[in-house]
Amino acid sequence: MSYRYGVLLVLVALPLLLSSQLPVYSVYQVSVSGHFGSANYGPIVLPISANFNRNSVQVSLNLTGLTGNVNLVLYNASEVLYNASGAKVQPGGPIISKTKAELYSNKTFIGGKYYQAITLTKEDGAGNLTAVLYPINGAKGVASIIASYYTLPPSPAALPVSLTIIGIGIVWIAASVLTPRRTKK
Amino acid sequence: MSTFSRFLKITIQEDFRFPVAEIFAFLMALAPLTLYVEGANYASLSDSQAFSYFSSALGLSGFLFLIMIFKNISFGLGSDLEKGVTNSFLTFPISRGKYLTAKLISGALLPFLMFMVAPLPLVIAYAPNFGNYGALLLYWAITASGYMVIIGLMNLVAMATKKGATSLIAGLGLYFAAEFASGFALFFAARGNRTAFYATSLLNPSELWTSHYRMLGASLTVSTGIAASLTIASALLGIALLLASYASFEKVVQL
Repeated sequence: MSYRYGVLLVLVALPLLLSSQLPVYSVYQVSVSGHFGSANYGPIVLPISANFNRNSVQVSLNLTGLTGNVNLVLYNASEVLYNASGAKVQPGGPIISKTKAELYSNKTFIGGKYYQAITLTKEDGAGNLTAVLYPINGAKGVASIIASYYTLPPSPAALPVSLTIIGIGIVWIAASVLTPRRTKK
Repeated sequence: MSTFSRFLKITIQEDFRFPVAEIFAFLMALAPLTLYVEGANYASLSDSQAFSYFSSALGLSGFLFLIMIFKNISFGLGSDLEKGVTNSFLTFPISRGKYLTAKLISGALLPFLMFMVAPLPLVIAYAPNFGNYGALLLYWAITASGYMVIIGLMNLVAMATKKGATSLIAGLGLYFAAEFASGFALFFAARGNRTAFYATSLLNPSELWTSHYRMLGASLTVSTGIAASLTIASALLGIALLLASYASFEKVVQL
């Protein structure tokens, strides 16, 4: 019974313990705003110029300065990713998964509210996002799109599992150190 | 305990002296922490996402696995041949074939098992419901087939020159040559000539699957059939080099 197996268990579980203690924070965030004026009844285009080279992007919608409602369409370059008036996914190229598009389709965003983190899962990780807001019911005021991605949170099981493995490793080391060794005659 | 098991135990103790195994296991377990800042959502993964995920998560662990192979073959087999230690071991009632088998188990198979097991806790922690174990098996198979070619070549060079340093240089040279050649081959492949790309993928099959999953752009997409057959060809090339090293050690190498 070698103490080295115990050391191996502890060392393999340590990164898992470390991951469970790391904070979740926004790695990158970009915010763009547009103004619906009295003369502007058409849609406004908000280019989110950052290249979100990630599998998922979280998009929040700040409509606290807006009266009326809006519909949102997100494009990846020229391709429709998520269409609020019906899931429309272009064939080929980087796309948002159909499941997510259907989940958020036919949704009207109401003015005066803040919509948090609509997660868009892309089929592959590339593309510039562009948001287009369509005014409904005479929308007026400022609308902002905040796109961000966050550090990855590990499974909640990471802490108990890592502590269990480390515990087993420590017991193993203790047992192997305390077990009397046979001496050769 | 049979002579083979006793010899295997000695070889493992030699290759994994404290704290070699511990340091490598820790680094391999730590390597997937690079996923922390990826910011991706891995709740459920398509084949493409899963392959991209495992490439990110296991890439650094795979490189550490390669360093272990370099160390074990050049400082294990190569150095033993250089210093005449192999002669002493072969005074044991053990055949040359079994000697080489023990060296390969200790030098390559155990590091590969370490590469499969050590990063798993973090890989699972960051994608607890990924469920796409097929992509994980594929990534392991690609890594194994690509590195088998390097192992086979390093064995042959170590036997031919009886110098550990030369086999290390050969292994490093082949690895970096394969990486650079893949880069150049991709340049030509993007312009319509894929011959060089397919040829270099025998040494570096991961590029095939990266292209297959369109991570290099739609113009470089490779079909499943071509990717699978070239990966199998790469594995067969690795096996042929390993068999050649067995044949060489049994019949040709003068100790």
